[in-house]
Amino acid sequence: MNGSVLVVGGGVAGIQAALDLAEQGIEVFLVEKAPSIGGKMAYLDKTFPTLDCASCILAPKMAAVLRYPNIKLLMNSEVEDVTGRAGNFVVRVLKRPTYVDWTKCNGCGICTQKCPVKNVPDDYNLGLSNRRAIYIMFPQAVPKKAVIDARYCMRLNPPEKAKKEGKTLCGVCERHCPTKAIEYEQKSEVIELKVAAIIVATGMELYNAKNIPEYGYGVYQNLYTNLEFERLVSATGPSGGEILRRSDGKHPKKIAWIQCVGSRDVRFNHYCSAYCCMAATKQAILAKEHLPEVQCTVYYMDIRAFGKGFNEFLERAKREFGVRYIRGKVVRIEELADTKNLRVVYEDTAESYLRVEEYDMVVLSVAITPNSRLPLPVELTSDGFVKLKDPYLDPVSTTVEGIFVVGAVAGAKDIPDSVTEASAAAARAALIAKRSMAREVRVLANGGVLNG
Amino acid sequence: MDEVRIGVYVCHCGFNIAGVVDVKKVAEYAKTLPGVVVARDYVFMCSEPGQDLIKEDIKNQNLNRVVVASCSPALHEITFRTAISEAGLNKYLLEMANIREHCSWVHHEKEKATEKAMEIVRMAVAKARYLEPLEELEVEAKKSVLVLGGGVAGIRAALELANYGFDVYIVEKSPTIGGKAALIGYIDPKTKGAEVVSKMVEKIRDCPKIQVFTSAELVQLTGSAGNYVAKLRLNPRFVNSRCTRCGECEEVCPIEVSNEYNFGLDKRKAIFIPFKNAYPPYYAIDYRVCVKCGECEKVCRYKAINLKEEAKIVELRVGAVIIATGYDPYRPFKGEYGYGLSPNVITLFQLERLLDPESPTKGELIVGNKVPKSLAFIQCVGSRGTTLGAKSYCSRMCCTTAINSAIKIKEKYPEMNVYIIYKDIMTYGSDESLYEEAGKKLINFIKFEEKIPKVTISPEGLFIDVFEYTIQQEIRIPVEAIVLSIGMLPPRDIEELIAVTRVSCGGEGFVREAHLKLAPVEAPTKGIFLAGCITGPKNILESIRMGSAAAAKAMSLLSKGKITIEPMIAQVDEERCSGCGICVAVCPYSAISIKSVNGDRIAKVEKALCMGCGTCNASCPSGAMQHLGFKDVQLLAQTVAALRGESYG
Ligand SMILES: Cc1cc2nc3c(=O)[nH]c(=O)nc-3n(C[C@H](O)[C@H](O)[C@H](O)COP(=O)(O)OP(=O)(O)OC[C@H]3O[C@@H](n4cnc5c(N)ncnc54)[C@H](O)[C@@H]3O)c2cc1C
Ligand code: SF4
Ligand code: SF4
Repeated sequence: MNGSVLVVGGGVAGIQAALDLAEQGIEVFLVEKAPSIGGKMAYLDKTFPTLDCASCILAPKMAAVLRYPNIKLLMNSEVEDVTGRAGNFVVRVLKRPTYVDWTKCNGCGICTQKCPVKNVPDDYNLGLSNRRAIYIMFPQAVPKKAVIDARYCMRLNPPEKAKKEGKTLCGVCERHCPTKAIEYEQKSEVIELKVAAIIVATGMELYNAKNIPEYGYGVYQNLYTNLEFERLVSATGPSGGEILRRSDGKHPKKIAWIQCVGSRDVRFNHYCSAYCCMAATKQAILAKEHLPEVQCTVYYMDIRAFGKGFNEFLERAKREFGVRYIRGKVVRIEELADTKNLRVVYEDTAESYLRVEEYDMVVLSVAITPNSRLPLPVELTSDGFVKLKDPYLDPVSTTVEGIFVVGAVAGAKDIPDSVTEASAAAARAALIAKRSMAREVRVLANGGVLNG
Repeated sequence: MDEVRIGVYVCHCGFNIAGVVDVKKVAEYAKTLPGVVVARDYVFMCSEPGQDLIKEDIKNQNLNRVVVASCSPALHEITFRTAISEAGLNKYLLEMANIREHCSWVHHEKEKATEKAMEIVRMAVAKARYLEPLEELEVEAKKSVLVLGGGVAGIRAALELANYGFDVYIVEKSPTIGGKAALIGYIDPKTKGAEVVSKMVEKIRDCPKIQVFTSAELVQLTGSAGNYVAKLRLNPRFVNSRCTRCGECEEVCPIEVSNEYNFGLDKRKAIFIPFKNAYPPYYAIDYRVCVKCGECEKVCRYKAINLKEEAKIVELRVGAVIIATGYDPYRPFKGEYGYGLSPNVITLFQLERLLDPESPTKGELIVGNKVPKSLAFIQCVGSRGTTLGAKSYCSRMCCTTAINSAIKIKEKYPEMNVYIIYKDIMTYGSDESLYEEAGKKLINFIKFEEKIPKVTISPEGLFIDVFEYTIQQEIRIPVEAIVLSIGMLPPRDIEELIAVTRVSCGGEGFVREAHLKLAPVEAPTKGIFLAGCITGPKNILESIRMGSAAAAKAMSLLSKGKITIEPMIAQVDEERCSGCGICVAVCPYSAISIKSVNGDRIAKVEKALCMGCGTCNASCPSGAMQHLGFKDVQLLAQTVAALRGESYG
């Protein structure tokens, strides 16, 4: 019966929406591109302004998703096509192969220890460490199931020579799996769903910092994005929470954060990404907690400390942790050949002077961009966020009836605002689902004839 | 007690536990503990095969207690409770031993970590021996909600709830709903505050499910989630719905006071209409200033006025309460940046009124007695610890509001010199486009830091001395008008709100959420929800979205018509209770009362009200008050097991 709701994207916003719907007894399909739910929050070490451990507060919500039998997880999947209208959407979902039968896999992780391909960049650590070709996305992944990355798997993508000779290689994971879950033959599937309403919660990605030539991201070794830094300080990160330089594995003594990288810049994105000032403040505090001797400097245009507890957090960073804030636009970064240290060239607006300072690690506070290129008929704003129909009178509705939008894909925002919208949208979607169900029941009772 | 038969299940959590703790050894050790009939280890206890292990043992080995040694109960207690109840065991016969967060994640030395894990398990087993089956309670829940505060957040919440089929009561203190958003000239470059609010109010008017009480206060709230009893005092309005708004009464009323709906820009009578689209659309008499001269009553042709009307008390039964009582504007002290010393120094709220076409000046920006040639906004007045007595937080909306107004001013008076004197410009998210636009409109931005600007009022006019941070120079700006961008304060009557609803406040004075990050619209007390600026500064859109979310949460709580209550609450042993009443005094939820049972004074716990905080157990001198699930015998057994090592029991 068509009383179900589709949630696209399993970040904190999508998870909250799914949980609220499930609590209402509604059947939910949660489609997530990655092999685990959690979204960006799962990458974070701590959250501002309370310094709560991100995974400790998110994990119970993720675990709760598994407890509701009416939440159907469609992982490693993306929406391909949507037709129909409110009450009656038909959605085609493309489910990519994981090459592991998830009904059998119990997440023991033996395969991820035995796989001989050891040099696959670990996406969860943003390439700062390696994993095997078969992997579990991260320790608290939900569902906690193994996936084969076909690009690197010797069996699925053998070297040219072996291909020509028609040899089958490896098969180590299959041999070691205690539950016989490995399925090299798995293919993509297209699943058709009928849903009454859709909630878009596809969140955001970091803007590609390589597009900003003057900073040298991707070239300089000790230059990181803020999301990479988040992994670097995390206990589940590439170095178990030790902040180490890529070039020589040493602790940095001076770290700089550069704000508004790709945001508030007419060349890239006009908008303010809204999270990065506080994220940099948090990261500077975390750096100080990990390495009390380290010097932290934040280069900013305006510090955006607008949310509950934010300004107090900023003051704490300045007073208690001695984080230095310099108002200035960074013009250029240069790498020193011998030490791999970085020279930050900036305009100190306090003195209208071009100045230079050397750091041994630099973090770019990168803009976010919405994951809004979706096969959905929704309209977008000029900045590419999903457009709201009427933010004042109909707060979470897109321009298409029955399709709602929540979280960072509707505009740059932090976790509490994402969660708030998710609950609001869930209730709206639930209403459509219940009405649609009631209508079908009426139709059935009428021998299949629709009357009002 | 029946023979105790405990099963212990030690989880590897992949390598999360097994990487540090010798789980096999822990399981072997568990087998030696009194009452334990089976102990096993498994890679993921929470997985389906893991749960099946437990379920089969319950059936085959007649287990009547289960101990799971794994992660924090916050994660999987519910999972395992569900599992054992599926196998026919009461779900409260489960004890969790946290050997991950409390052990493997925080230790490196394997041997010692293993030893600690064994001790944690021993303690859990000791407690498990004394576990008792408990039953959840179900209470009926009313499908109706009280919304306290009729601003945009409250209105949104009410509309949403009505849409879900709930009965809603809006309780608004002032004579009209609409709140402060109705008074803001332009809430974005294209939208008038009054317009948005009128559209929302129209929907309220047309909705039979929503009942609006204006000039009303919540004076008492008793009961608990699903069944609150709200006592309202309806203050007299003195004017009824026969009023046609002819306005004759207003003419004859001799009393004139400052008009709070224009933030003191003009005066109103004691009988007045707050603003054009006020709802309900009748005159109201301000009982605080009315002298009861009777002139209005005499002149009213429609017999709409009754000066003898008295306050009434009304009782409502509701399932939940949404608090949306907003904020108060910061009140600058006399002399703060020249405020109160010159008519040319006004607040942002007054400016908003002036820019509204419905204002006393019909939308003309007349400050003092003329349209100024130059005007400066001073930001962060009362916010961000800028001046003595300022709040520590950022008020979030004032930068965007000031810039939006500056743009409107420039559109209307392109020649006017407009300055914005600021610390940081908070146009976060897509509001940044306004900042960009302001630059194009040649609005001057002047930044200060620690040293605050100084306003001088002299016969030559107004001057602002400011240390311009970007050129590191003291500059003097002559202006004809100054707008103070005042921030937000918790509402003046928040103390009464706390007293009546028992919510609590954070250090900055706003109401605290159940969880700042993940439960932003819930209060810690079940059945009480929060929307809008009552939890801290927000803009109109954010408040509206919170209204929707709070309504959604209330709906979710009540929609089944029933609420289950955790059984882990206080229970009185009537034999032991001496009726001293200490518990009555300490209970923060007023859940305990003293009853007479066969002539004896005995404490009685109202189950629906008890939140299981444990305060009464700790303070009961005779040990009569016990916390189910954490009874003295259970905790003592656990403590003894911790202290005495092996030789407990
Ligand atoms: C470095 C950094 C630090 C931060 N620190 C904090 C902090 O301390 N405190 C705070 O409050 N906020 C912080 N934030 C912001 C916070 O991460 C976001 O507000 C929040 O994660 C947004 O949640 P979301 O669910 O909307 O989006 P996301 O978390 O991005 O989730 C979106 C999900 O949708 C999936 N998805 C995307 N496209 C598709 C598709 N086509 N089909 C199916 N699935 C799809 C993604 O894989 C992802 O799982 C930080 C952000 C960053 C980058
Ligand atoms: S939040 Fe701060 S760093 Fe991020 S874009 Fe906005 S102003 Fe720049
Ligand atoms: S929004 Fe702007 S003016 Fe208001 S307190 Fe924050 S920084 Fe100051």
